[in-house]
Amino acid sequence: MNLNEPHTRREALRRGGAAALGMSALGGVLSACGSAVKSATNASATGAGSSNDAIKVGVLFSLSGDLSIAEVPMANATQMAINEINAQGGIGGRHIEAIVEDYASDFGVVVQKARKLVNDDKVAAVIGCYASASRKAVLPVFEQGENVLLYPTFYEGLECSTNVIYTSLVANQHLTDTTSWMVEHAGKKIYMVGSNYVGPQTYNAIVTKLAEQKGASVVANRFFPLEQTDFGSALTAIGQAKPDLIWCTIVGAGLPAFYKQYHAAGFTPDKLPIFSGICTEQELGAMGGAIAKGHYFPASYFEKMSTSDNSSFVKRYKSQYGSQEPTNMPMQASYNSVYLLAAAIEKAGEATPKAILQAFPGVSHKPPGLEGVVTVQPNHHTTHQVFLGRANGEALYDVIAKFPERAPEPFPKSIVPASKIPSCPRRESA
Amino acid sequence: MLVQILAQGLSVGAVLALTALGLTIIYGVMGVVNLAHGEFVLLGAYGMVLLSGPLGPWLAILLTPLAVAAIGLALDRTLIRWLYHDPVKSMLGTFGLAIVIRQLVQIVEGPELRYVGLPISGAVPLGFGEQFAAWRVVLIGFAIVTTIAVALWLARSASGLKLRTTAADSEIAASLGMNVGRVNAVAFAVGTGLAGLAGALIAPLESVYPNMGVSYLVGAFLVVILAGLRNVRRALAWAAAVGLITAAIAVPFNDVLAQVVVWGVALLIVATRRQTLTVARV
Repeated sequence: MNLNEPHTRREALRRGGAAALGMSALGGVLSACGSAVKSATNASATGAGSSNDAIKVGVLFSLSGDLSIAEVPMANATQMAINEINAQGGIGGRHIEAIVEDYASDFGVVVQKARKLVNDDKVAAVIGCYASASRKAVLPVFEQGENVLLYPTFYEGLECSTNVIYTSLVANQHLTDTTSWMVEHAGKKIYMVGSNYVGPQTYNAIVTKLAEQKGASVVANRFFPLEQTDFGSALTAIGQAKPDLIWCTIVGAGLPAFYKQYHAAGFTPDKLPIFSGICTEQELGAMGGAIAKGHYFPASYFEKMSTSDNSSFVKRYKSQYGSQEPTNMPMQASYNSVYLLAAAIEKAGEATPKAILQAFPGVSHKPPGLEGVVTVQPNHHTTHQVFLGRANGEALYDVIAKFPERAPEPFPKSIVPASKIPSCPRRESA
Repeated sequence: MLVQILAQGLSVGAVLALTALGLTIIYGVMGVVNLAHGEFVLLGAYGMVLLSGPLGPWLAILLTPLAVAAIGLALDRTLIRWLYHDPVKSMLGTFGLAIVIRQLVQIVEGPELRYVGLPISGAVPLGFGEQFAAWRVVLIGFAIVTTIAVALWLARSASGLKLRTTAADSEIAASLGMNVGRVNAVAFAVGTGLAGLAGALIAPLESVYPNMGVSYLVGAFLVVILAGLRNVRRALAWAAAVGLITAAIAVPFNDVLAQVVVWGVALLIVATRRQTLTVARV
């Protein structure tokens, strides 16, 4: 009975998620089974070791299922920062107690897990979520439960919840200088491809506007179903269109496949470079250095950044989680999120969600790899500097350009009319 | 552009043909609806991940389907044989088998995307000033040679005749002294081996990961249902047709529209046809 009951409920939730996101039905069932077992062990483990002194922090990522490829490293980096802070005596003498939950790549399960963390465990804050669909799904839980979510990955914006702190790039920071560089250095005829959902669509819309302002033209904007991994037809059309560059926001398993099929079709980056809004070092690893070499990606962090704190960060990560594991922007942002949270709790003087939220604007921390700090703004987003990376033969990015620090605009002027820009932060759920 | 659409259509059709042919043989002979078929494509792709390093890509492409067929044979003798001629039971059983295979692959090889290098890269000229990915040409070549060989084997050879006899009526075949068990095992091994070959051929173009099999099952199923479940030649023709229709819409317009049209056409054909999945025996 214990296994049956949550299984059927999850299954019902999964169907909703699957219809919306085109996730595979078979994969969904699989994930749901896995999560039932994992959460049971997690609950008993954390229940036994809790103390009244510790500050409870939820860590909410997909440790199983399709998204685990990207999210397990983020969970690892979060845990690494928590361990480091605890080793140094915690926050104001109080240790952080991480309550790790696996939402199993399932946007129904993520709501249940968020409810558990907020309502049952009564955590001070949660670090987690990756796909926009997971963040959107848990918004009401955090807004109604008056808790804090630190969302540690780059995203499309068009949101500024009162209860979320967005610790990585938002689209205007990620894309503005990149688009100018791309049009100036690679050409004015752009072919766009992307996965068919809100993130890539918003990214492509913003790049289109910015590129057109620079005198470039977008000859096509093609979207693919999320599960598609054969891009032969699109590459045939690209060969016909003869663009100067490809702007690519394909996500997931299709991303390395697109680069491989591009290479197989005889295209080369010296004549037709790919600029991706998505492709971190992790995806480069899945296509191999020979295929990755010569393509571009803008980010606020690269593994090859040459600061001494970054070489130490990379070394610590690899020694704990495997020498073959690359570091990337979402991991660094997850890691930095813990330090930002610690700074906010110290500033607030207490570890209640309400005090933390009030304390957050103005809190800053210097993450590994950067010379400057990342500062939380009144609109709950963070200041960032963006760098342009070009992939080398080792499937890592060399930093080839450095852009000035940019303030976050979750509702970018390029695609949102001035009259429609709301005051931030605001409640996002009804 | 027309030549490229044709080539791209054949490349899509080639993978569909290999997977649908296996699905058709398995359903035709044993009445097993193999929902684990995509996982044999998955095993073929991982075969390339594991073998193309030590053996080189070409030997790996030849050995991988044999290894997958051997796994298929072992599974048939231990598990699938209990599911013969019962579509519902076989769907439940193979659905479970699919989950087990995916999870085992994930436990052994991890959830991350795996990399298989391209045995030959670059494009080859198609004439008319057009060019096309060399590896896709190899893929199409393998698929054409293999499907013709299997079709001829079914039509002309003694063991092919046994297979067709068993497909027509396994009880009569058994009463004539045929070793039906062996015929069934051969059919399952050939069917899964074909899926393994498809997996090996697409691995250099794809991201290899534990959940990749599902979309191949869906594509193969579409073709098999359009072809009327048990007809090898029609399955091959429909595989080519679906590939060509997809490319003809996806190249000038986009893949979303191509999928909408292909599934719309499939729905119309299936809805207006009398025979359905539940009418198992012909």
